[in-house]
Amino acid sequence: MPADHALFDETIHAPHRLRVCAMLSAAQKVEFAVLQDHLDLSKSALSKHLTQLAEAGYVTQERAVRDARSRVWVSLTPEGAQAYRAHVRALLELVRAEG
Amino acid sequence: MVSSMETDGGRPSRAEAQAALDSARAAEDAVRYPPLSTWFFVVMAAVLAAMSLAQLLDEPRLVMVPCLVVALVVGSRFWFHRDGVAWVSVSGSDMWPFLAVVLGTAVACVVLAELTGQAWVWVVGAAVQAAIVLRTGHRYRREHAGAR
Repeated sequence: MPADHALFDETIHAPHRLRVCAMLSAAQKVEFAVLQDHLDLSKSALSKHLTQLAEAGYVTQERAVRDARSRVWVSLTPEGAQAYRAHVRALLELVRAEG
Repeated sequence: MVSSMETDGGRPSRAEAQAALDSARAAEDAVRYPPLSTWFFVVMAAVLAAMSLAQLLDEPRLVMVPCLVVALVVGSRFWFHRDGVAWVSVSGSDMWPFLAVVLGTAVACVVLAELTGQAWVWVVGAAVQAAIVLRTGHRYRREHAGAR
């Protein structure tokens, strides 16, 4: 896929998953609890969205222990980052085309 | 679940696409630009000013190195590598104007100090750089203080 390709992605477009991808695109990785807090979702609802993104190959989750607390870190895969950028470009094209 | 924009029949309307873009932008900003306290910018302004004033000393690096360490530690701990977020990717288009002005001021000080041999150039440079950081911080806090 070319770097500047616009591609509408229905897996990403769902509102909560779009915001998850947007948050993850702004950092190397983000903790599950931060995503949950910002998106105001239950653990199970966020897990469900992350599972769908993981099944598409867009996110990975890793567990780490710090200060005797288990934390889950979530990050976009290179494919996920590319798909997110392509989806944003597709949305931009849509806005410009009809503008 | 991927469809080309050219062939997808169920694509969102322009308003929906714009709303999705706004939502994505806000989510990115929540990670990229966390709410930062006033003291963060005061510390950064003091650090930059100290680095300029250090040029008046015989051994500027004795002040510059600790200042750089403070800037890196504070910047990492409260912004780029804070609790729950690892290594924020700051937008270059947002950062470059600020960096250009700060670095431009430093370069101007070097040139003026060389040409005039006057020490006050560094005092003015320190004040200008501190003012730039505080002004940027004021604007940042106005735009991002309420970001979640």
